[in-house]
Amino acid sequence: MSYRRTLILVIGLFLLFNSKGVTQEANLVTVSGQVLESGTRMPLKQVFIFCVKSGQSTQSDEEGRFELGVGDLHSSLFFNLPGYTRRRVNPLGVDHIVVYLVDERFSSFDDVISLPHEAKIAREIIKPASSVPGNMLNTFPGTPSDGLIQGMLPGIHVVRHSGFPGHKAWLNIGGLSSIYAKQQPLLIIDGMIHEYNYADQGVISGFSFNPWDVIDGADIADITVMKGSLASWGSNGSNGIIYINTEKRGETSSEISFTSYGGIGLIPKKMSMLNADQFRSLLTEQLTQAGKNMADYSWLQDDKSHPDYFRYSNNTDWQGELFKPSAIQKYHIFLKGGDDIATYNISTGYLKHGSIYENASYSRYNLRINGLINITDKFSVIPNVKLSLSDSYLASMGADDYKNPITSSLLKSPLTAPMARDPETGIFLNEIDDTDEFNVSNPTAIVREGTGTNRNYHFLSSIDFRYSFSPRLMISSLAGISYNNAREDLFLPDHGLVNQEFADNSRHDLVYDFRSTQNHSTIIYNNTFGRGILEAVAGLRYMKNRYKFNEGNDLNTPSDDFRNLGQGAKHQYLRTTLGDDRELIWGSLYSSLHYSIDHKYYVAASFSRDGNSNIHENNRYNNYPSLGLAWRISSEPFLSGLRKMGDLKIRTSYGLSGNMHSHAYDYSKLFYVGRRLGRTSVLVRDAVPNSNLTIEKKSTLNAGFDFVTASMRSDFSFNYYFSEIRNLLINQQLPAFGFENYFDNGGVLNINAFEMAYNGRTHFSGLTLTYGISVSRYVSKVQNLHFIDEQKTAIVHDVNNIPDIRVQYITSINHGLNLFYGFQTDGKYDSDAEAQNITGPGGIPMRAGDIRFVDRNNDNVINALDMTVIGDPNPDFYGGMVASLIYKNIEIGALFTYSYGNDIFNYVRFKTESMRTFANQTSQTINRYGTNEYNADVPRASLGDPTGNTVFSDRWIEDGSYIRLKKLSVSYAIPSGLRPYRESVVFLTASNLLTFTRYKGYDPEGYYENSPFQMGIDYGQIPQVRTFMIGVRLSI
Amino acid sequence: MRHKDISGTLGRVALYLFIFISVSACADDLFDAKIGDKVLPNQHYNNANDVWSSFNGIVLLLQEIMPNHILIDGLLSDQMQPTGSANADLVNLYNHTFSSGNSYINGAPYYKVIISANDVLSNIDAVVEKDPINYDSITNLTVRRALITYRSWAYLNYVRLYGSATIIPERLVSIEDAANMEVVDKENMLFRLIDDLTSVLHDIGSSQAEIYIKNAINTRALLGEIYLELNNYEMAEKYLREACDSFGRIFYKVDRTYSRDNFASIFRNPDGAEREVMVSVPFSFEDGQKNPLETFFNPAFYFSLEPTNNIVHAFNNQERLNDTILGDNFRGMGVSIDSVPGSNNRLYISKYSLESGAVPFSSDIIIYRAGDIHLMLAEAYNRLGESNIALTIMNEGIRQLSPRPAALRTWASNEGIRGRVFLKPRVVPDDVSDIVTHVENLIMEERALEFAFEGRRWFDLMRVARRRNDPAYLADMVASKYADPATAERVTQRLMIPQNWYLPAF
Repeated sequence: MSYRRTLILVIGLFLLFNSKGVTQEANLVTVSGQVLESGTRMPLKQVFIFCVKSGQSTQSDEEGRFELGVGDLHSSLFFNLPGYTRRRVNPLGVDHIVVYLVDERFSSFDDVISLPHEAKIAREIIKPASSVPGNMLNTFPGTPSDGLIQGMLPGIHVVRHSGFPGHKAWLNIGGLSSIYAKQQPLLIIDGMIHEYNYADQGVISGFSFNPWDVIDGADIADITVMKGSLASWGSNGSNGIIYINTEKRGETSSEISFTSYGGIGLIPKKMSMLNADQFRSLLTEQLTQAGKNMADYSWLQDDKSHPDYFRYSNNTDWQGELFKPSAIQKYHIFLKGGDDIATYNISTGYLKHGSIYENASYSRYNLRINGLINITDKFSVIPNVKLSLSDSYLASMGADDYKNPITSSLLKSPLTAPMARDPETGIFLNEIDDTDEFNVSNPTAIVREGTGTNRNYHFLSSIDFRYSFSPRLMISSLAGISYNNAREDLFLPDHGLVNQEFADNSRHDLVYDFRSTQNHSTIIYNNTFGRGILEAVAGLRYMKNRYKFNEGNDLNTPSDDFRNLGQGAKHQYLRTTLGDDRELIWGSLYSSLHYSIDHKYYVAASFSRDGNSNIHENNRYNNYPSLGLAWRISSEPFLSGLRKMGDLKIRTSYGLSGNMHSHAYDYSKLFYVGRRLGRTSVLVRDAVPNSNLTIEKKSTLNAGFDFVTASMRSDFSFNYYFSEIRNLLINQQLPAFGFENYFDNGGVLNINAFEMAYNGRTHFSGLTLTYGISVSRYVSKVQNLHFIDEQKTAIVHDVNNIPDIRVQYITSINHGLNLFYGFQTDGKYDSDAEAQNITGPGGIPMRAGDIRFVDRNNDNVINALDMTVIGDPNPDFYGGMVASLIYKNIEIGALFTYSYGNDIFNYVRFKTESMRTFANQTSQTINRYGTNEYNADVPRASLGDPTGNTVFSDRWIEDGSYIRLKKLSVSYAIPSGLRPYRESVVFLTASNLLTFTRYKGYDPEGYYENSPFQMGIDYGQIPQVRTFMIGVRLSI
Repeated sequence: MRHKDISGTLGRVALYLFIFISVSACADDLFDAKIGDKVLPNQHYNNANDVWSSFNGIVLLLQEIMPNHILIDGLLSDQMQPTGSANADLVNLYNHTFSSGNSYINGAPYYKVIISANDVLSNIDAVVEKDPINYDSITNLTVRRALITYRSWAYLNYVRLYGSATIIPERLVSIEDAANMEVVDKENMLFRLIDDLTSVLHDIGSSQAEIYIKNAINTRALLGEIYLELNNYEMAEKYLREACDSFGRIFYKVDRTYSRDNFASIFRNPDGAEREVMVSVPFSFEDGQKNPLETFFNPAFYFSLEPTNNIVHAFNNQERLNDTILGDNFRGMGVSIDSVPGSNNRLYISKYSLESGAVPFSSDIIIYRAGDIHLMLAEAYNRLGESNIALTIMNEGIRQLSPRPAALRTWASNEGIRGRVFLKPRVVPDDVSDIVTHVENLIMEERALEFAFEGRRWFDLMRVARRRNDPAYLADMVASKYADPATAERVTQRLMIPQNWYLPAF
């Protein structure tokens, strides 16, 4: 639809120029030149060439040559040839020009970029934005929608939360910009804001549904990422915008296409764990330490008469038991058609992806209908409907390893077996083995009996009314609703799972309901004044969101056969229920002006004023200005040497925006919360409100340039950003006043970021090689933190969902946000004499074989005073590389993604190398201290770890850098002789084929939750695995 | 050009619609949105129910205070000690090596009570006008009194623990209101509290009869305790005695009801024990309010704290009234302490597990009970030179005293603290010259038993040591709990300086 508006604009411009051109027909100047294909440099014939100023047009000849009368040597010429991206060229005072046209399969700076409520040629953009055109999106079929931008675009940091196909991704543009407010960019789909952060709530820990899946990746026409502070989006604009356009552009009026693929997902590379013998040796050592009577464990010494002998005499490869290859399939149909009065664009699809263990899968049904109805010449209506139903089946992820099958499979003793055995004969029975002596859940029980379900119903619909008063003035009003309803449940059985405090088995249900009603109305005015072109937009945006959820947790049903809410124990105190119901209202009035002279000098300014319900009425309304300047330096006559090399535009912009998405703003209001005292309901005041609390504001200064070579075969963009976040929300934790939640605007944060992208294309003897690389970097630095409690100098945040280790993040002045905060280590103690002088983190003297922690204050006591920054979950650099090779009908595409310099807290390794419980450990621990060939990295086995070897330290922090061949795709277009298909393509795609990393866990990519307080923690989420798919795409 | 005639109309409609939406967007109440389950000030304090729910909200805050209060009292004094499973913070409290980072040292909940009480106080007068039928001015004065009593209780306990306190302004609706707050030391705070409490007592006239409010702290009991803290024994005697007389002859007396029954019934069923329990903080695990003390004391859970030998010996060495067997079997073994099942002589603190068979973690915590006021009253009488009355209250009860002093004429049913648990009276041997000190020591020993693990002991030791200007009284008592002489010596040295008695404030 943005495309249509562009079309209207362009036609308007034509008419305008046309009317003026006629008056100037008398003094025409002739421009001659040649049109060449950008890649092969072969002449292009029959190119339609048009000068708007003079109204003259011509076609290029066999040699690609042309001659055309123009108004003057600064009049724009348009070059148009089907199959090639349309171009506008300014001769810049020269009477002979060479023009290159780019095959529309390749991206170029003449592509039209869709922006919310407008569309622009990439070359004309002032503010930083980058775009993935649709043709690139088709290169890698089978990618989740939000994965389409990973590695493809500079500046946006995409981290998949896990390898589960329906799981959402962490998205961030230009670095962490807040501690307590939202970090994620605004997602806009066909003009509607698609809020997606509410979906983090759930009963399947670590899982959050991916709201992007309201659209199928195959329905996306193009994606544009707008960076910097977006003033016209006001308090919604500080994290950038991802704009998705689903309206396909194309010349054909009707089209039917069908895509289908099927494939297989492999199992992850297994971690090396102790086998039965090695485990037995460790266990014997630990049982001795625990002072157990070894006679009770005679099955360890091969005592077949012991009733538990068969139960504990296996050698199970638990990872092998758990991991299973999975099946993948997808079907997608696309229909397009219509006439002058109405056009439609319908697609529907179904996909099902399995995951790495039994009963884990993701399936989705999608429907999308876009339309355009021209009621009159001036009035049109554009309806737009998207619907998706999806089912996810999986077990919990996260630190509670009693219900996480992946960590359980690592920790489960190899001596045990998935199925129970007859104590007399040792014959395997048809019954899952219950929990064992070592207190680890049976992974088979988790995945067979305990998986959870998320069913999600998503509806996104809008209708846009447009009226054109004249070619210069148009109004549009888009009204729509985004609705999401989900049911999530989880049943944790008694049999085979470790019991929790009071729970034998438990049932958890969550229902949520999100709806957002919106209106986006705009007036657009365009006019030309001499050499200047003005575009003015004024508008209104209104959004009202309501999010409700209800959660019920029931436990201790009569048996695992009873698995619904209400079946639980009679005592109601074992049940818990919770819920919330909250609204967010945002209204904004905005205007923007865009003025350019000769396509050489550009100025843009915008201003918005908005209000929202989150902020206290004292500070509710805020103003957001922006200004941008650009200069096409290569158009200057004094730099004619540069002009021959290509097109260089330098840009700078400044913008102010706000971040209204934070629950912290609740504490700007005085309120009471309901509680119970015995059986009476009471109201309690919850906080000292801070009615001065104001919105976090981010100002960004951006400078950059875009350079395209004259032949249009390579381009380079660079952007530098300096952002300052003022009014940074800080939780002051005022103990003296008794309330934990006192938020104020006590900080200033700076972010220095840059990004660059290079794209190139080479042609040689029928081969076309395209390649691109992007590099992005951000460095956040806290400039100022003001604490009311004068003794406080830093924000230390405890990660509270980890039961057995205290993990902290620290935010302090002159450092970045949320760095890992713990102890440093320096090898081990080799003798008791040396160790005894030091009191360890456990509060008792250390022993030989214990970890030597760095005693930073030299007081011989390792305590909180010795803690320091031990890692940074933020990457130093991230980005991707994309390459494709086209030869005749064959296209090979490869996409690499990488991240460099980010640290990961490997919780899984903490669990599997701490040797403090009876759980299985990695084979690293074979060489523990006290064995013959001990390795300097592994301390002694210490049951219960009284000395504190396993505290949060750099032992568990690993370098998470990686480079991954995310996608490799080969496609073959069957020659068009094969009727009736206009196009028929067979493709093969492999995902995650190669990963280069030193990280020891399953997957260096993955954040547990969409929160900055979970960044860089690996709890043993479902890893991304290699998948292979074969598919076909047919078009009629 | 289809439908040309209507396109102009449509255009106008579209334009008007656009303007209408733009203008309506400017309306101010547009941004009133639900922010979850929260009650905003304009929805609150409209009727009597609002007042009561806010008043009880303050009682709820005591659920946060009391368990911690009891742990700190037991560990700093000589009644509780950490087991092997105790964390470092508990061990540090026990050893008097704590620092401000200790997670149990948290004065915030006391301030929460103060801020919340102020919040209610500053809003309830308006309710009298809004809902005069259900909430008249007399009720309002009664509620005000109860609120100020709660606030004073919080200040009193805070200042006793931390040595000084910040005066929170009545209307604290923003952090600016908190600028330049006054910090007052303990003595000045006590005088301020007396002023506050005396004035609210007079608001409703000087009648001794209290208007009963469930869950309210008895204003006179608190006043008496503050006067006792200030060594003003006349006023302490007056208010403590009046507190016991608040509801006539029966309520708030240690009486025969409990001589026949087991002492422990007070803890089992506070609702039925209204006569003796003056105010308690209810807990109900069923309703999501868990009394956390069980996790520290109960061997079935973490069992990180256990009784000290001092308190165990004190219970076991009591002489019973009618036989020669030693041991306080009404308050000691089986009540305050008990054997860990399946162990040899390992003991645990069982006072909060008395509701056996019922839902765990639901024991209420008593703030004031009659026995407490009685023994404080005895302390005051003793210091007023009436050591005989003091001993009678402690031993066989006023009903045995003949003739009864005029002030205690209505106490005909009063049983002694020891009498009702069938223990031998404690007497002053003839060779004692300083009778007052001796009787005071006996009362302190009795309080240690009667209120074991109830959050009284540390405060009692501080009060008496200060009164006698003898830090050694407290230091020696505390040091006697350590088996290791070096630790005992270090702690004695430390506690000889009264400033070290206080916890570090933030």
